[in-house]
Amino acid sequence: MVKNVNPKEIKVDFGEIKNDKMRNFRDRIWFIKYWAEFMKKNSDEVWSQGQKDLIDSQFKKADEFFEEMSKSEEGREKLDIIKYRKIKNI
Amino acid sequence: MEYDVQKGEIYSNKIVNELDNFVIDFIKILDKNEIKYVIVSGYVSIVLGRTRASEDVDLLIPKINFDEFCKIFNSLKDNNFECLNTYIIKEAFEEWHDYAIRFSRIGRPTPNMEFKMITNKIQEEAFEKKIKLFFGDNLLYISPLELQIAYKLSIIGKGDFEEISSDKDFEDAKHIYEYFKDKLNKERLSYYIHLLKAEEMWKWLKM
Repeated sequence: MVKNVNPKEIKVDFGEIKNDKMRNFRDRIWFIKYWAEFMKKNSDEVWSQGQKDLIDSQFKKADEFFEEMSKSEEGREKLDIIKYRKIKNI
Repeated sequence: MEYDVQKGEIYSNKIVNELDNFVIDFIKILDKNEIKYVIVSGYVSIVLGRTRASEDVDLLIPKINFDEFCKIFNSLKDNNFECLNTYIIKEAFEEWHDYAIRFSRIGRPTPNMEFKMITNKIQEEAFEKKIKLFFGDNLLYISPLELQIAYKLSIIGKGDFEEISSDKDFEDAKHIYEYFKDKLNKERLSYYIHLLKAEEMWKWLKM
């Protein structure tokens, strides 16, 4: 059971959050450099297999989501809203 | 992946993924209808190896008249694509003058193609200086890498790390820069960075 906490009692260290963001940013940049080197050292077939696994799995999930949504009238209405929002770039 | 700078051609033996297949199928229909185009933005980084997916692909084409538009619209429809904005051609043509219209495979809103008309000088530059990407039996026209990097940097913001710390545009630019930095035309890159006022971001990119 989570105890109710008064937000006033929580002291947020924004300096620490900023440091976390900086560390995270450095990690991500490090990985981009690492990945570019990995691509250079390996054949296209090797690096692109990992990319394919990642991308295909995301689209598979999306397809499953749309399929599930389209089973009900409410879901179909929501899908229309998703489409509409995308189209008008709201 | 090899980049022949003189010819403006990249050769890739990558394994084709779902997003690539979507783009290839769409482009085949444009080619069949002799519609010229250039692919810009996120998909350029992805097709060149960036490890992320995208729900849309940005495609620029020069202005075409209504008859040509009808031809391509119907051809897409005959090949299992639908316009997400509207199924009425006239409406789609009119909307296309104001903003991008989107096409996806029927019943699958993602991924989708953002079909944009070329309306400014930067887009014209991307179209005029486009380069070729060969993979398998496929040929795609993509934005010149130097412009791609500078443009991605220019749309981020003011240039402090708070803004770029989780920005996919920055990371897309960084990926292209890291992989192709020995082949990039430094003079042209510098020109685009200056033109698009992306000098501050450029400092971050080089770190």
